[in-house]
Amino acid sequence: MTYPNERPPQRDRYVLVPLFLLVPAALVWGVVLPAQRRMSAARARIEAADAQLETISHVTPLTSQERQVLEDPSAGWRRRMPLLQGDAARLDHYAAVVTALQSGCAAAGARVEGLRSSWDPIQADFTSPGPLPAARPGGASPQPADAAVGAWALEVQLAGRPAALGAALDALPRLEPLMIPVGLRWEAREGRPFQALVLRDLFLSPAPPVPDANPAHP
Amino acid sequence: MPLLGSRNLCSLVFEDRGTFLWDGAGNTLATLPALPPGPERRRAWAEAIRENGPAKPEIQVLFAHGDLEVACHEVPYLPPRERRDAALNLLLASDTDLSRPALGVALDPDPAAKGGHVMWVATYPAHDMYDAISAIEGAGGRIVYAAPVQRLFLRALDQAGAAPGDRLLLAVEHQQGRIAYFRGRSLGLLRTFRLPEGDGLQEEVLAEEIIRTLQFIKQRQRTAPPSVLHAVGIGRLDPALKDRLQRSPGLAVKELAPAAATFILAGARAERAEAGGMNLVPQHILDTRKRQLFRILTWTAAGLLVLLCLAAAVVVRFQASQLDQEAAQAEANLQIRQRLLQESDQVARARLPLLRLRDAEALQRTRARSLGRLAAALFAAPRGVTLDTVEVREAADPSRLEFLVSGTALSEGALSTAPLARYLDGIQALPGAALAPLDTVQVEDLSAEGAPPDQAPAQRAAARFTLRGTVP
Repeated sequence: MTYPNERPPQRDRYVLVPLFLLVPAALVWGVVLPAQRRMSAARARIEAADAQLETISHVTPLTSQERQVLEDPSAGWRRRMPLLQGDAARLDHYAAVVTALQSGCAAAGARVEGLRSSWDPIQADFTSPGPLPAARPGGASPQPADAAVGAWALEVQLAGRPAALGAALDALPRLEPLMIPVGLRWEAREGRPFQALVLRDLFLSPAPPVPDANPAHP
Repeated sequence: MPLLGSRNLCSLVFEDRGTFLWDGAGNTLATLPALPPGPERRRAWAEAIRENGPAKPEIQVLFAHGDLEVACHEVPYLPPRERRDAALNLLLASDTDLSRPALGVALDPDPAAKGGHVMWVATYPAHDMYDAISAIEGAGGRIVYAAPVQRLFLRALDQAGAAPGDRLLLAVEHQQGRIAYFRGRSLGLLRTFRLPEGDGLQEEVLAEEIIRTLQFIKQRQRTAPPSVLHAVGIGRLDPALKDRLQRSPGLAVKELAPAAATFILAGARAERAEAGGMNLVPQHILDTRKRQLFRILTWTAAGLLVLLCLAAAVVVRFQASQLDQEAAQAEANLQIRQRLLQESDQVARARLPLLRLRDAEALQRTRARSLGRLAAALFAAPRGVTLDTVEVREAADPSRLEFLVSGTALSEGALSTAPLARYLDGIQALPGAALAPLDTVQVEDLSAEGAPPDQAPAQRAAARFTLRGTVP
């Protein structure tokens, strides 16, 4: 006699056994593993993004006046450290430096007697008996940010007493070419002493400049 | 597992005088028609249960019928799995009809029994059991339990706090009385008798039956009869019955319950709640119930597994999606930061030429001031000090200037080193000046120019010196 609610259990096994095996397997193969791959890729993207993050320093935005000064192509500051491209520009700049030095020192009460320098291709060692005519006026120079700063040294021989050295030093900031004093020489020679100021003139170069062998001592 | 205190619980009571349907409190709901076993009876009973019982009743079957066979055996302890086989072996040995499928077994510990345990074995004919089961299921209910009333009396006595040992129980029902005698955990005797209607007649019959039972116990059991009579359902009888029983057989009457039905139901509740309690529901039905329960649990587990897998899939996919969003956000942040960096770089590049120039101009001013101050100090030679050379250049440390001075110091009144010392003091007074130790200071006589070699030197001395140092 069979109790009415009795059912053979095999029928359930055909469903339950695959259910207990296949559902977790499907979860693992169908969901977990692809999700893990997705998550690994996402973590790699996050790490790559984090690795490229750089610290941003606080930079004050340009004001309108500042922008006006910076973008003015004829601003005077552009001529103090000109961008020199080619020999013509060098020769022009050399003439402008010498002329400015002579006139500026004369205005400050110091007389330039001679000049010595070695700035390829200009090898100079000359006296300056009288005032020079004004050099060809230089135009505003472009100021590329990636230009390299170059320098060349010149020795300016001054007449008179050592006080002329101080007068020439005072005159330097007022000259248009930017020259930084790096030394001086004074010798008590027979008759009249020798005194000279060693200056370094700064300019911009589109290419890295060839370093001078000894800029302070041409 | 049906709840023991279910609201739909009813009892189907098989007695010699008929079959009754009780509600949960022991009130008679219906008397089932007395018909011979078979389909007709099952239909009639199902209809009676359906009409008089609650909807979807859970029914326990209580057997107090003469066809019920109950035997108690003193046995050693038997594990639950072996009790049924042991009971079948005992039934085989006693030539009992094994076609009786309703078999109930229970094992009680009893220190007074041989082996320390008493095994109750109850059997009941198949036709009554299956008629009852079919009727119950035909009425939309289910059988939850079945037990002999003798066993329920014993369990109810335990529940009522009757002292262990040999116990005598009197149960009075409507037009019927029962006397049960238990020797320890064994059933010694169960007598069922009719009670006549009429004043004083019931008490008379009861007293006679009790006295007759006591005599039977003395003769057959050869033990002293119990001195306490546990009674249920005697409340409506004449109180003089107690005094009479106290006088003549010397029995103290202890009333345990006001009605026999509630007493039996209390015993049924206790027996059902007992693990390994007696249950006359056929074993294959119990097994089927277990399979059904297991099946329900298995399918529930399968459903939970599917739900858990779905939940896990949702969670995992959600996490992956979140991580994707975080990656996209990180890349967007990177682009924003790169754009900001580019903008700040553009600003810096726009400012760089002017900043570079201002920096050079500042250096020019600083260097001109420093060089002018140093030149003033170097050329401020005191009287008696004559300079030969002065040379200033950038030091190895570009923030400092180094100088080299050579000259001669002449004496007048004092020694020639005194003016040189004052000269050094003047240089050393420069802020940050660091003078190197003097290499050599050569002090020698000074002769007048053009004087013959043998002329005595002038009263003057010359100190030739070379000094070095640095200033910022």
